[in-house]
Amino acid sequence: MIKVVRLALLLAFLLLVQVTLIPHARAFEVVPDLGLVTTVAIAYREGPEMGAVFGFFAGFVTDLFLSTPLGVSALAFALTGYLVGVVQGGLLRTAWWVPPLLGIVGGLVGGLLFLGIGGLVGQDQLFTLHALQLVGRAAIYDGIAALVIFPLVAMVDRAEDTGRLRSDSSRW
Amino acid sequence: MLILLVITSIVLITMDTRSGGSGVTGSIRRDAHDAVAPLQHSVSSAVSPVADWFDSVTSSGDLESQNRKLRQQLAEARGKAALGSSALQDDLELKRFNQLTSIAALKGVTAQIVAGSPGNFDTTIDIDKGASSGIVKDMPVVGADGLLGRVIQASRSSASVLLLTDSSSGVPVKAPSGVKGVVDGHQGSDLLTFDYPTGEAVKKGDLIVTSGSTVFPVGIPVGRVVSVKRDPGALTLSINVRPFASAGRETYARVLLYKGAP
Repeated sequence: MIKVVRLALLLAFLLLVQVTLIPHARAFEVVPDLGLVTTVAIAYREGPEMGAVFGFFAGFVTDLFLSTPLGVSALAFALTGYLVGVVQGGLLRTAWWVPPLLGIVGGLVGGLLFLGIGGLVGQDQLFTLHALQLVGRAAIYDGIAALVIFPLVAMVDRAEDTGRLRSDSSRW
Repeated sequence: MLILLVITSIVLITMDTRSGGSGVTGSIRRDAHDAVAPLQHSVSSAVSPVADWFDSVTSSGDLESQNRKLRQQLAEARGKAALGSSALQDDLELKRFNQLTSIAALKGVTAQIVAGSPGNFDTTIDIDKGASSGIVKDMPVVGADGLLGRVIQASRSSASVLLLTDSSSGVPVKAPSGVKGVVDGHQGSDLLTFDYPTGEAVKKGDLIVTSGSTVFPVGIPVGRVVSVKRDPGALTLSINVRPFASAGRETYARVLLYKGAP
């Protein structure tokens, strides 16, 4: 239960950063998607189910601030979280390059899913070559953001584990 | 679990698309915007010098040529300003005669631009005034030099504006020859396109203004024709229009409290 609260607080904090600070950090027409990168980080640590659930909520709150229909990011992020969670078992966890690589791959998958789902629900402006270029550029930015987000998610997770260990030892 | 999430997402998409931004989903969106609006305003004021520097670093390649063009445009604009003020006076009188809505006579609300879109596929800006100032969906928004776009969502204390350069934006306009049409935006381009009948006169430098609709009153300056392309066999000329106003250059925007006839 505490973990859910911690993750909800993390999501709320990152959403505020996304809608207040991140628009001012636009470079080469793109901004990183903190909700998507956090989904990837959660899926990497917790597996497909948690990744999908967190991705759904991260996408939902992101959708509130976009002009595309509510639910497009929610679906795209949930599927990305699930996919990353499925493949995370075979990854070398200690390598330093895993977070940025996953950030880039997650950014690409999430971005392409967003375009595909958006296009299917009538957002024709998303079916352009330029939109694909934006996905590529944003994925690189997501990879850079992953260098900060992954340790942040690990910190939230570790705090939870430490709390659990303490309560277990007091029981002994 | 994944199937449940997929179904919920599809239900949300359907509900939001059908309600067209109103209803429950619209209400949730407006509440979310209201909740973050004060913070957006504070952050915008605090980070704008850093953001300007960051922007100049990432777009330094374009700055030199932009600066040269702007100097040239400024010189031209100064020359035309004197002519413009008397023409505006004439225009106001003529509109009064024709009982048309004049932009100068329309009431408006000036608002600060507090943020751009948090996503990569929207060309929108957020302003710090909303429904409490009389702003509602589909009101036109102008910058210091011309049309910026239209309001797509108004919460109590903020509003989102879809810029005319967005791919989903279409603005009814007319050329000096009287030909009417629609200018469309395109993702990744700061130019608008105007499909123009081949038989009609048009030249580089022509002024394009709004032709009047339920959203945009007659006569808001939109931009100037920068190129005219004739494709063999095509029924229309492909015209590029450079908008006068750019959200990147503006700090403030003015929402015209215009409600056209339904």
